[in-house]
Amino acid sequence: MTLELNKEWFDKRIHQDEEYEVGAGCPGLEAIQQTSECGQAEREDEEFAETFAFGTLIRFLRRDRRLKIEQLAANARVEVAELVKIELDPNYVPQPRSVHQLAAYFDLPQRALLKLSNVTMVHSTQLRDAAYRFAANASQISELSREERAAMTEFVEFLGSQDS
Amino acid sequence: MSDSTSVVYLRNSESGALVEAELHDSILQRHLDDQLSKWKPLTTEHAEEHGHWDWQAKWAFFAPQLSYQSFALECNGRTQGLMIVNTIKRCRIQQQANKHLVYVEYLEAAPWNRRPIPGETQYKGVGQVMIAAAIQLSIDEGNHGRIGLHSLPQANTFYRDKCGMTDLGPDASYQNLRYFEMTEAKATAFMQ
Repeated sequence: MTLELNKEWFDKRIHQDEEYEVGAGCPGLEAIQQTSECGQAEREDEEFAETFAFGTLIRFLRRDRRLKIEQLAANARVEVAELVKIELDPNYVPQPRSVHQLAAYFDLPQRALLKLSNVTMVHSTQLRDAAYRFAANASQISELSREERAAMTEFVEFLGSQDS
Repeated sequence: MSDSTSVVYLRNSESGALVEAELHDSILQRHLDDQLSKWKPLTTEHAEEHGHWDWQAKWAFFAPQLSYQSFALECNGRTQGLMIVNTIKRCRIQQQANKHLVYVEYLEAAPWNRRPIPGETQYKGVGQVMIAAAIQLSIDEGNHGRIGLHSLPQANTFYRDKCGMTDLGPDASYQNLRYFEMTEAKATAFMQ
């Protein structure tokens, strides 16, 4: 997109003595967490990022261990149908029990995983930002590449650091 | 990622002269680096309410999604403003209800453009340039200049008085930030 406005437009529009401030958008994620009322659309975006990251993480870990969904479901004692939703539906909020089971099976930090899966409504800015990055890195990749595995490892390490 | 650049102008606050600037229709890594290294220490120092905005994370999340577009304004080798817009939201004003608009998700000017900071050149007009960019994108998208946004409290007068946007009042679903929308007619007037 290009903006084609002549210099006179700027001369007319921008005055030296004006004292306007500009800024738009939700002031901050902490505010969202405190009030739970800021920007349904934005909150949905952010929760989407987290649940997307959660589902993707589980899918990566499963594929990294060369397990079929049915095998993981059996090993972790989670319903197959729920596992499918966890992996494929970023809007799905899993059962707390399933998150516990998956965390135990993959040896992941339980509390951080519960936050990531949106089972609990307690969030941290750092977790959301990490989920953003992980979701962004993962969204374009279909095969578990070296980069994908590195992103997954980094994310798991981050979750470990947040489990307090 | 494509990056088209437009020549625009900002006004040097001290000299009053118009200064050439570049509007990029995509946030680039150097803009994010600028935000992190030059903006963030200043916004954090003054405990500004949006001082913890993580543009790197926002950009990483929004950039792959086709419904979002980002803009960066550069002048004098510095990033002067950043904006992310959403192109699939809909209008709220009765006369254009449910029509598509360009919604400004995030807009921030560099700290030195919001208040005088020793050693930093202050430029005026970041808001005007960004609003013009949003309107132009809206026109390009076939939305006839319709734009909308939730204003930070200190910016309400800018959108209402300077831009001529309609103030729809506090939005309870958005932390009571005031929602502003621009009609096609006001957008046309703004760009003239």
